[in-house]
Amino acid sequence: MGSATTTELAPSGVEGTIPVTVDGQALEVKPGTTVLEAARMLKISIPTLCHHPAVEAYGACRMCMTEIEVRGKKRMVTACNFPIREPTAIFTESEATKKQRRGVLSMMLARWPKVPVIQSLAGRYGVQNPGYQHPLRNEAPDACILCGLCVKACSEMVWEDVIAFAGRGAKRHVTMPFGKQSERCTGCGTCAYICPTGAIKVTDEKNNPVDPARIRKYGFRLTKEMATLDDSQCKMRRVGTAHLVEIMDAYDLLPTHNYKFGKHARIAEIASPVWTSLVRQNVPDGCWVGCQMSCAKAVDDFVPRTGPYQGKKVLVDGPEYETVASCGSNIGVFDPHDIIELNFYCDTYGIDTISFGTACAFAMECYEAGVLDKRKTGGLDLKFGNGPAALELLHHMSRGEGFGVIVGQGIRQMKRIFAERFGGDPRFLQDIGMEAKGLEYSEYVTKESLAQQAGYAMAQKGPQHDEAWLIFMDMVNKQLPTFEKKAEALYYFPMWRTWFGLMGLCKLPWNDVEPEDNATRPEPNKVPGHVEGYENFVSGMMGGEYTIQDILKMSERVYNFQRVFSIRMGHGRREDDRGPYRAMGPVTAEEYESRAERYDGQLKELLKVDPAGRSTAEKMALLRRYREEQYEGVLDAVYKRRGWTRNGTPTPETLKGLGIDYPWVVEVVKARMAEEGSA
Amino acid sequence: MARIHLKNLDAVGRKHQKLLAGYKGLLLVCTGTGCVSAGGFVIRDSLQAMLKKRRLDKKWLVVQTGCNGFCAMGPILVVQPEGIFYEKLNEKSLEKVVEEHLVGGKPVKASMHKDLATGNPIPKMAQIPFFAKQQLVALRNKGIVDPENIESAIAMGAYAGLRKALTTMKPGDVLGEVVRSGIRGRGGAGFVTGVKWGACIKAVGPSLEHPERRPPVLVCNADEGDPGAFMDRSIIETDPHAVLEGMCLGAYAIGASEGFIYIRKEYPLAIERLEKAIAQARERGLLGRKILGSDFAFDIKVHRGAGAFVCGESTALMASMEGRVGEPRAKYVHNVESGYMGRPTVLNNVETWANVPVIVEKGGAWFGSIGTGDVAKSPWNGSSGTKVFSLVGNIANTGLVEVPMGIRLKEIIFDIGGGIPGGREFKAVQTGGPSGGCLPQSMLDLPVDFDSLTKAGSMMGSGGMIVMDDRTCMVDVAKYFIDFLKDESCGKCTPCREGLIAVSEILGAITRGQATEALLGELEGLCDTMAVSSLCQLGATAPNPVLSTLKYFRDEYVAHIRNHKCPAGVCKSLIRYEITPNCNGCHVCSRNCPTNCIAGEKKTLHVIDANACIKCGICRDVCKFDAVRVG
Amino acid sequence: MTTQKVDKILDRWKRDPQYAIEILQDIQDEHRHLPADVLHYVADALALPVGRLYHIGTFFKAFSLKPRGEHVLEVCMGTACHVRGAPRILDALSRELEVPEGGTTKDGKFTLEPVRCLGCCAIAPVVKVGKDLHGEIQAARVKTLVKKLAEG
Repeated sequence: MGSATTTELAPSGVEGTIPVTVDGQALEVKPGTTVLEAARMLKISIPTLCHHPAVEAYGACRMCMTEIEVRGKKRMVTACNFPIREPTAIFTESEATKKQRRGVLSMMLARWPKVPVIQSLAGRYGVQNPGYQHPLRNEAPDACILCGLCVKACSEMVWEDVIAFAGRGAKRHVTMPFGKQSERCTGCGTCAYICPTGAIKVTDEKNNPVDPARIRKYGFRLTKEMATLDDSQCKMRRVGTAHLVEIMDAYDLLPTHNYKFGKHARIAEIASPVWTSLVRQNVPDGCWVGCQMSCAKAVDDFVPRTGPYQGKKVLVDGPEYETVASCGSNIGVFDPHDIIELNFYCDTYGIDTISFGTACAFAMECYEAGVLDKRKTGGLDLKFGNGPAALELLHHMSRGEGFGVIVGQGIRQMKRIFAERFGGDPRFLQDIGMEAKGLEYSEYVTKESLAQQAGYAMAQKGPQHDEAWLIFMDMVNKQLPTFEKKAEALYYFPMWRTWFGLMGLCKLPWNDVEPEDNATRPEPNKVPGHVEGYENFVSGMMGGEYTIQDILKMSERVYNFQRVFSIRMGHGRREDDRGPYRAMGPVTAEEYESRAERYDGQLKELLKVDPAGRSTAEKMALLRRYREEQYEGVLDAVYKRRGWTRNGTPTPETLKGLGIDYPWVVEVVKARMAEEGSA
Repeated sequence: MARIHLKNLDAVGRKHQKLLAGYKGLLLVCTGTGCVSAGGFVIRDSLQAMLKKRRLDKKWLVVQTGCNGFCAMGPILVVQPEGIFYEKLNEKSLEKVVEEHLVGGKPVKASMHKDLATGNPIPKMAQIPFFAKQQLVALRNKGIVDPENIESAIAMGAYAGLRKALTTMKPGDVLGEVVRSGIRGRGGAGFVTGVKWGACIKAVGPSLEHPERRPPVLVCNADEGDPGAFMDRSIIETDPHAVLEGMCLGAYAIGASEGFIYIRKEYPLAIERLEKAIAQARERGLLGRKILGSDFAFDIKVHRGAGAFVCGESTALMASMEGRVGEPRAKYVHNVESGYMGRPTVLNNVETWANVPVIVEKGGAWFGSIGTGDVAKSPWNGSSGTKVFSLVGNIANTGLVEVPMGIRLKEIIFDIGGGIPGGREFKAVQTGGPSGGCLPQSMLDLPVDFDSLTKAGSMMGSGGMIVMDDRTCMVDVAKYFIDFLKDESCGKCTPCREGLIAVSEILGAITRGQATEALLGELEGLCDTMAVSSLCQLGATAPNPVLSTLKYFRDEYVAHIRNHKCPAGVCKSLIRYEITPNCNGCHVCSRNCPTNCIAGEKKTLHVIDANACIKCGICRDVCKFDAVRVG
Repeated sequence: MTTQKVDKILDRWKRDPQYAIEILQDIQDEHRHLPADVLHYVADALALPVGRLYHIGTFFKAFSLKPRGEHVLEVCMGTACHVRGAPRILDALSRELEVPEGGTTKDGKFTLEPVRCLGCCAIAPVVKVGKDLHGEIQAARVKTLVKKLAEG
């Protein structure tokens, strides 16, 4: 998954600023700035109880009553939500202002005499206990003062709406529906954090963390970022990961027609607005209750056109970016209905949408290249773009019928079968069959990012960006110019990302929303603000002080164990860390020629070869040799950084350094090193 | 039913008039809620049966009308064309009217209205003082049209204003007439309607801030919530098409194609008639697409309010229309800019909408000439037109009245209302609902208009006018309104929620005789905070009943506090029931006493055990000899 | 309440969350209260948080979370009724039925509800039972009214 792509906020539609004075001090503000914001710009304090910058102004406690003067007319307004639209004089401590604040405080003091925030404000404004007895007097210091912050936070920040107001007038109170503990409450603690009196208590009996307050502090920071920044960053809550479709297309990274190309003219038909209109929004997440990112979406009342659920209404979970790309552009399908239907049946049959889409794309390219024909596919017309045929293939796979049996075995087996039985050219099949370690590729075009080619092909489980996603760093922002830099990134990110797996955490909250100041921090790609959060999380959970170095070490142990395990099973060699050439460069003349300017330029610039007058085949061969050499260079550098041999075997010294040099582990690597002659 | 076009609207009306002319006369039976509760539907059905039995049903046409206005006299029947007015009918007296008047041609004196002073019968409706001083604009069709029959309304001129607008006026012309009329919102606050519409048109855009035109919405506020007020209900029950036509005209002026009517669930008859009227108007091409065959399109949906006074507040009303709890929001951005669903929204109350067709038809200048001040200069410079009031409480002629602005309070209460019944004294009149105030005897010369009432410490409000006699305790009345609001406050903002609880507590202490005079100062402080700091007008005007009674009836507060006495004999803690020597020992009181605390032998003076008495007042209610006294 | 019945009501309002309050009114009319499981069902159908419906259900007077009685005696507390003795009517009914304001009798027959002005001020004080209005009622007569209703 990509790092947050911050969209620039469009400049406000209204020109100019407005002159304002606060207690005589002048400043200029943008139209729509509230009185409270204007005062705070000058560090002038206006008391508030129901206001918090992370939630929409509510204007309920009336503590911030302030006198203002507009066009010669004085009036009293609530500072928190009064928008400045013309020149305004603000008087935060005038007699009229103080009189109203005293009045409001006196009422609160009558009901909640022992609540510290009220007592301290009463002290500031010299308010005494009133002379009547409030019938609902509550002497608890942590009484609920009905400010509504918890209700707003649970709704606007957490999107759960578990806490609600109930009743009206004197009977108004804060509760969970029917006064019962809601099953939907995840104990995220946002309400408790935002409550000004401590009326809400969080108990975490199940996990029993050492320092819950420490965890909550950072948890709340993330909640606040999601509430306030997501709409201008990744729109994970409103759109989900499908927001990436048009971005990837724009950067020529969206796999189309089995990764031949990175963009398509019909992109608008599967771009995010289509998905926002089809999926249900703004409901708590179906993936993990309590997640404030809520990126999982659902399509309600979907009616499949084929298969066992044909004509019935079903609910479909998704589609996510990867599904749109794998079951859409990569097989040339641009009909959202077909994509959702493929998504639905993959889920129903227990088939991964990425594996299906990539395998289907391979079969389609073989069909178009003449390796397959209708006779071999059992009548399926597997041209790119034939959605109904893709669906039919999927149903065949689920039933274990006909051609579906072959595709169902995955690309690695298909390559063998197509060569053996259908007379396909094994080299061509190897080049375009997008798998490594037997797993189908995920949905990003990596041709122009050497680091990501390795990020995919070297990943322990196969070509999945679960370990590293370096395309923007490498290709767009050119932050990894040398083998060493690439190797460092291919050390840090896989270790960092593996840690999420160890903890059972989702990675998206790490970098699909970023702190406001992230761009100004050193190494923003690592999202240092969030790394600190995770350091605090693990420290708060387990006690003690854990740093990023400790975190990386935890992962590195597991990562090396994984490699050793692969070796013990007969894998984990250098050749296992190479991908097909389609992942590295143009396999066909069609691909080369479609981006001839780019490739010709690279021949000139990097290989110092004049492309003029050379045939496409000749140029492709030159480019291929160069790219394959480069890849080997990266492998060497990464192995070195990881403390592995040139064949990708962890050395006994590395294992020792990690404290996992158990005899039975060392035995495995020693055997492999003997075999490769590097012992 | 065929759709009506601009050209044949008149013909539809004429056809209905011809149908009516075929009868010897019309029998107008009032079926407003007041009369219905007294048996109006029974009278209607019996009358029809009686006519049929006598084969008179081709001669006389029974027309069920909406509220006649003179609710205290229900059930009511008016015989047209003479205009003979019969009141308090039952089956027996109705039979007599049919026999003697309709068959025999001799009006029945016994069922006519009696002059309050002389007791002489008054045959014609127009001669009854209750009707004499009224001027009908909003209620122009009351007691005449059948609210469930659109032809009946068209025959009386309904939709003529709309036809005029669609054939001879541009939207701006309609707005111009409304501005010229100077009409101010009849719902309470009295904001100038034309100015509101103009601001909405501006907000619709396109503008710098909103480059796309934003479709506006019209809302009719029929969430009539003021206790003692039923003007809006009566208008809808009487002449729903006046409201629909008014909204059509507003939609034409503002460029809206969507409107809503938000009406209280507690008004089932009004909802039923409104829905019928909308269905008929749609069927006849007066709502929906291509209205009257023109290119103008507008439709109306009904929302039922689920019982919350605060939903009369426009932002709360719109929140509940959006399916949310009726909590107001700050109005720093006005509804005309961002109201229902963030769209530019014009909200007016039922009576305002009902006035619009007349303003368009007769011209704004005509409307402006009625009432006080010179609105030609500025619409803020007076109160033009007429106003409907519900005249209730301790008054002889309870009912609905429409009078020109500027009429004096005493004219309404004594000339139209017939004064205080039972030989008791006038004490106060409460106007403006819970947001209004109580005005004493000394203010009876006050002209009734927006600005005079506000200056006197009350307000126009939606038009409830509750008359109180000398048995009314003003502290109790203040507490009544405060408790009403305490219950109805949404509870969102501190001053309204906590202020009302505190004020109620203090007033309670006063009525129990447990207060000190220092608490009066505390009371005034709370009122100031509520008035200035509340989020919406419910809280901001809530102190009015307290402040106005403190202003005009302070002595009564002092009597409770210092002397522990309730001069009006209302506040339970401060009174005791006693039996006077008038008692003849009939046992009725002791039999009815729920606590059995009245003792006495037959035919001897009874005695109340003050310790066991719960002051329920039943003994006084049932005593036929005025032998129970409150001391 | 069967889900078919709730579905019918939901469909009547096209499952539009803007009509949540209307939908709940129809459910209240049908079932004399808003059962918790029905609120959860409606919340799911309208994709609204159940807390919002709970707030609505406890905010508006038309709703009740506990079943209301067979007959709901609505005592008008409007101003005109107040000055003509409505509080005494309410007290009398409360004594007669042995329930507090808003309470329902043990046999489920009666609920006593003080209500906002019914706009029938001319015949104050007023008690409304179902669609029937009982005007100019006196404290001494409430016994008879209750008896008549109990007998049906």
